[in-house]
Amino acid sequence: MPDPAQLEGLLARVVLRDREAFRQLYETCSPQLFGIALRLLRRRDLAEDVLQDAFASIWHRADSYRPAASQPMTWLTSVVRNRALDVLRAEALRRTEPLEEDDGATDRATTAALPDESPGPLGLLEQAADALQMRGCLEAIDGPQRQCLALAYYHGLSHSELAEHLGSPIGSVKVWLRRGIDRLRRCMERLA
Amino acid sequence: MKYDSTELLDRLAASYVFGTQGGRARRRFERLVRSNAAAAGALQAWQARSAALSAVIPPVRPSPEVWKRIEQRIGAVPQAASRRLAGWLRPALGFMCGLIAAVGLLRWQPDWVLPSDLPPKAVLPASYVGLLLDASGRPAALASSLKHGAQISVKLLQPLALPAGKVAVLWALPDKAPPFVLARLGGDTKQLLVMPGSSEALLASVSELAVSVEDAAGIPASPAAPFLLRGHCVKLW
Repeated sequence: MPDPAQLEGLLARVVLRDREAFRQLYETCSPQLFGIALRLLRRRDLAEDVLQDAFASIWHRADSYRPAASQPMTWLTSVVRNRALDVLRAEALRRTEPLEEDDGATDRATTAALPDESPGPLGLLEQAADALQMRGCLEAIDGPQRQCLALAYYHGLSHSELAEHLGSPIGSVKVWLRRGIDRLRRCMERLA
Repeated sequence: MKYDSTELLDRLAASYVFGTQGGRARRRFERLVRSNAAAAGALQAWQARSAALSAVIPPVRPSPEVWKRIEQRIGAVPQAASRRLAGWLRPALGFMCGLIAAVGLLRWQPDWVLPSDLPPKAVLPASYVGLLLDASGRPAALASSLKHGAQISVKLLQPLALPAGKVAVLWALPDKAPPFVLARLGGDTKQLLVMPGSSEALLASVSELAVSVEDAAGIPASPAAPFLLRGHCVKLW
């Protein structure tokens, strides 16, 4: 994980049009941010376009980063996720890009863009819970709610896509996701 | 829709961060965040949670082409490492050659440039002049101070957009002594700043000037490296 103070210093210099600082920021953060975009889009070409757009926007809008309001990686993650979600919503990618599964039946050929041995969405949610020491709290969330959380967050599935993927009515999916998000917020608030 | 319920704002912020809304709903929430502090607060809280959830995603290195395309988009000319120093030096040398030529011309044929009824010194007084370049070698600021003056005039050739709580500081880099502060820079294109002494006392053995970014709360004794701008300082008389 990059050092927040170092990233803050680099962003301050980027505001002043320091190209060397911008290059260092890219070197330090691009693998993490590319991983995030790739996970959502599951196509290298689209994820690379998103990374490119995101960094062009960071160069031009670094002055809108407020160190008092958020950590630098939080801001950078938001820039990349927002751009990736816009692309996802604009393109009907779901028809062509298969999802990875968490039941061990992952077809490697369909998820070739992702690194080998990388966990599926539910696995990632569990890892995040471990890292935040809230595994117990996460496991208290019902299975379907947890699955909706993981698929919506890491794969960016919309309500209708969740319904289709889980083979459940859209009404149920909306309720699961809303309850899951409420539970997740409570788990994470307790940590804060 | 009324947006005064904390619970509603929290749900909207979560939907935005999870990305479950469509494009139009996303734009609507972005507009709301710009005008509603409570919505902005709810979004910040969810963005912090989102960063924690994303931190476990395994990093993947993008292809080198991506950085090249970014450089093209922001208008940077890709430079090999060995050429970076030359990039700093070339405009500085050009500037100095121009300066020498101009001074030579003035001394040889002042009437070509100056009205013959004015002595050359009235137009080009003895002074210290510095041209500061940015990291890509473009002229970014011009500094000058009369030989016995206690003020330094700075003209910014590119704007310095400073983040909150930061300040740009002008340093003198003497040949055989550590850097020292000449003045804090403001944001104006042209500024007249007071130095801690006369230019003759301060700048006689200074061969370079530089600008660094420091915390506004307190300027340290030595500059934050590397410098944002840097360039040669020459005596002119």
